[in-house]
Amino acid sequence: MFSNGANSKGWFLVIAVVVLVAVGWLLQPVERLAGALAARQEFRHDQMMASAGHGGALALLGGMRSMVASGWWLRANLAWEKRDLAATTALIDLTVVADERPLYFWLNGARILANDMPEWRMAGPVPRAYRSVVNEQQAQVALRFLERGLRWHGPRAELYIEMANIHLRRRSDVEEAARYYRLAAEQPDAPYYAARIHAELLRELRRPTEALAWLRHVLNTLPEGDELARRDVVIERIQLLEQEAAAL
Amino acid sequence: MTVAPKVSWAVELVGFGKNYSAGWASGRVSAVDVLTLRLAPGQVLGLLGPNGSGKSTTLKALGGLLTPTRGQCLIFGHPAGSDEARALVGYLPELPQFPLHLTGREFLQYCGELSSLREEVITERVAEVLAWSGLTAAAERRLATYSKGMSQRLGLAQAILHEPPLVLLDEPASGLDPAGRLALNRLIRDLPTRGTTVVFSSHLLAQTEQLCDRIAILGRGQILAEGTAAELLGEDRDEAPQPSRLEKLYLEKIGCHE
Amino acid sequence: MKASFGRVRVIARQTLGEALRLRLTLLLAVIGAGLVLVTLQLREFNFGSAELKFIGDFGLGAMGGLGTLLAALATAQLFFNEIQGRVAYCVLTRPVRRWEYLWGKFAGVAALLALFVASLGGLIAVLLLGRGAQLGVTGVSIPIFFCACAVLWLKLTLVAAMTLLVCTYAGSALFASCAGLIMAVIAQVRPFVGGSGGMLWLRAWPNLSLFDAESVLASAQPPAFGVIAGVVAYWAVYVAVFGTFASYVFKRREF
Repeated sequence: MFSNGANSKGWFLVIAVVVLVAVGWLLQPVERLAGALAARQEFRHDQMMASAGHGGALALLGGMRSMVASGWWLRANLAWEKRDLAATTALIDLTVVADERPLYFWLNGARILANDMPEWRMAGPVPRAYRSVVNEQQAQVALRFLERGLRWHGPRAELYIEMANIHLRRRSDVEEAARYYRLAAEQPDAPYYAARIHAELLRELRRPTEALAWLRHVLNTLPEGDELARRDVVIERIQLLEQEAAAL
Repeated sequence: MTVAPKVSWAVELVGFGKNYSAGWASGRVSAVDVLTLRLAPGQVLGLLGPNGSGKSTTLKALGGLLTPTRGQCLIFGHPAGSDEARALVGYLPELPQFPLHLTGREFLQYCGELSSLREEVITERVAEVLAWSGLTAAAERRLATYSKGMSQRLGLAQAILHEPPLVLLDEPASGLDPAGRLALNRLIRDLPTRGTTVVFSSHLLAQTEQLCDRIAILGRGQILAEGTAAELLGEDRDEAPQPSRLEKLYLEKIGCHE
Repeated sequence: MKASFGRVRVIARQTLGEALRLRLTLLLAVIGAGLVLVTLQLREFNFGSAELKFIGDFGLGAMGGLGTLLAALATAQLFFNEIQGRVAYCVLTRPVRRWEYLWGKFAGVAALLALFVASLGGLIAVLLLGRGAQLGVTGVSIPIFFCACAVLWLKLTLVAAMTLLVCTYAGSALFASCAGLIMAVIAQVRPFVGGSGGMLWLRAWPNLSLFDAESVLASAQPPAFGVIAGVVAYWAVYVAVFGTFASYVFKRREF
């Protein structure tokens, strides 16, 4: 096929590989610059172990982890429709292992774990004590799930709010709920209501002085002219708390 | 026409040889051993020989599709395969499979653009070669609808589109019926009248005898015999070779005449 | 130079014309469109705005997977169709340089891939806009989605360039397309298996996972100019290197 002999073919192959390796090595700075576009590049053992037997390993390696995660999320929803607790839990887990980036998976996964699964486990009338135990167990599963999310994303208002809701609604732990609402309110881009709810929960815990100090601090940070900030509501609540604090 | 340099020989093969690799275990095979021949401008050379005798290899070397292992191939004094040589050559491969989705005109247009002809020249030349090859009526039809004979005539048309002084034809009559061969022969016979030098390979002895000024019989990569038909056959060349009686009958029946 | 560019353009146009008539192109385009339209079933899940994210993800995944197949298979088929049909002899015996022929082939395949990505991308964009209007949300930014499609196109043309290099010395379309696909897989997983010490030879392959269209979409914001410049420069260097090697090999190829 070539005009020259096997020797020159061999030499060409060697030179080609050497040149390509050299180009790859020289382009490392460009690769690092361009790498900001891509997801993490390191080999994820947890991804490969999780995907083993579930399909998607090659797609994960092929840079299609969003698609793989979406596929597993869809399967989780199909399992949710059948109220299959084990499958739903496993598939939610697989989804966030495949692609930890969308908060959507963490938030909705936690809601399923905390809110839907206790009902699946308690089909029919059950003693109140048992109901409390199941709610607590599932709440802890959901909270641990969200803590994993925090490890990936760092402090995020949405994750703290979800944790606060679980403490409040599933565990009836107002103290912890208040703590997490405060953590949420302290994050950049937190929704304004997080700060207001923290104050309300402090009121429920009969700590109006603390709530008042908090709301006064919050009022100073609220922008004028932003309807969502609800300065009028905050001012109204400060007035109420001033009355309550005076009555103490 | 592309102007050929004024040299004595249109084609010059001097000690030309070509080896191919036959695989790791088999080493190298000699397709052409040693070939020396010369062809003057305006002549027609026929290369005869059995399969594997080196006919196609010789034509490909002249067309620049492969490099000689030994010796030289010159086209009007330029090394075959060089830019200068390729500008002087038109090539028709054996049984080409042209793009079926193109019409005859579109394919010739494509070939003209590749030869870097100017647009107005392309339009003019395409019309000319279509008329010359008898394909004007079929020019707007897709090549998928062309018969084998029409495809070969189109192949010849693309080979002469840019008016090369040398045309190389690899088994141009391959797969053609007697009527198709007749039509093709007419076209090939016309080329030297325009000053074009022709080299073609063939298995068809009668065709070669009819068309060629010089004949080279190849075997085992060497020239076994070479010369004019008269020199080789010892006949009076004025006596034109006759088609066989069956061929005559066949052509009469289907309505083709010389 | 102008004449060379003209010949490259002519060959590219012819290659694209032929490519659009390949059954393979039609098959992969239909499968791609089918996979994208299947995402319409997602409305049954009532995901809300997240449905748009899923449509975008599935769409990009389909384009990436099928596009890689198209890049390797179409390149090999278009190259060998002309070689085995001997039409390439009519071209290469003319004053057409081997590198012009090769770059013309590459440009034709690149144009095919651009049309493939643009058509499927357009279909997905229409779905996103339509479904977004129905849901009353803008879950996926269309300009960022198109940016992701452009990154994907860069990746696919790099696969085509690698396959074309193999074509220049391979003996059949089957070998060339398989080798092209294997090289694409190696280049994709390269960062996962390192590239230092004993695995230094892996750096002979470009890092295809850099061209992560999904990440562009997931980030929900346009990439920084420097990052885009880096990606394009990386792509350009590798296309030039593969193209140069392919031209060198093809120049010495005999028929």
